[in-house]
Amino acid sequence: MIRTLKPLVIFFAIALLLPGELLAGASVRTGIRVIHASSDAVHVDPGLRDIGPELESVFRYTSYTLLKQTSMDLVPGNQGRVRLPGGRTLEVEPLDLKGRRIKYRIAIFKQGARVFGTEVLLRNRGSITIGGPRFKNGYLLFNISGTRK
Amino acid sequence: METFKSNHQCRRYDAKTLGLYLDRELAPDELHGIEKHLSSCSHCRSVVENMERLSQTFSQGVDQGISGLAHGVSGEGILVRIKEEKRSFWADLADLMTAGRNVLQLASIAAILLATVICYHGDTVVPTGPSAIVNSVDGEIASVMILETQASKHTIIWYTES
Repeated sequence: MIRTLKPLVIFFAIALLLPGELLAGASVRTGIRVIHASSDAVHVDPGLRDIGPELESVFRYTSYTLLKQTSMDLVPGNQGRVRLPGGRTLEVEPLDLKGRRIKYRIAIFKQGARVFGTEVLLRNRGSITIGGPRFKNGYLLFNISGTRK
Repeated sequence: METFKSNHQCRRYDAKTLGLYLDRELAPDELHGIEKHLSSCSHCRSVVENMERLSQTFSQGVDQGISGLAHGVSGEGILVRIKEEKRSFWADLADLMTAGRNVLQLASIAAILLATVICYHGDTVVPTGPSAIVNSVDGEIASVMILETQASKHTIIWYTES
């Protein structure tokens, strides 16, 4: 029995000593959802079931429509770009993996000009929502999620 | 198993009645009548003889079984068996305890290590703190708000383009 369990104990000991980044791998799965929030209807897109109630608890909009959804595997230092409505572009770049969080640089460009930028420490498997640009009688929201692979 | 009915060609007494006769469970006058009949009817006599043989065989078998059982359940035998059972039970329990202690120790170590690894790498634990910590915000913006929802501490940045 001891002989059987000994390798397991050794494995866990090694796992404990290894940095999380090495154990989990360096790649980050980054998900981006583009949402249109308005008060034109009463509707929450089925694809927004997870964050719909969160958004409704903060905003007074009654309609949340998922316009676009994409995901990409990014190694820290690599940028990912997504075209947004209204001639905008969203740029995301995982910079570093810090414990349970992923450091992201996020920027929004409008007709090539950088209009918004932020640096955040995103909880692994968590997400952040950035909103503000006006679009079609409502506003655009960008939900960005990150998961270490 | 012999079937008496099929061999019994005499219609005066059936096998059941002959069986009752053999067990002496008939009235005296009936017993007497059958005895008289048997002296003259070879078929019925054959049936009764077969029944007797079968009965004897069965009785011998039962006797042998009972004697064997009696030997097994004798006082001495019971004590020997109890001692054997007792010894094997305690021996088994001791073995189990010894083995169990090792398994328990190793399982505890494994559980502690697993819990530590999970906490250290921390992806499956209950999330604490905001979903995102905002380090900096810049750009051509007129205003910015950083919100956090109450339910799951979801971070929201709301900005107004200038």
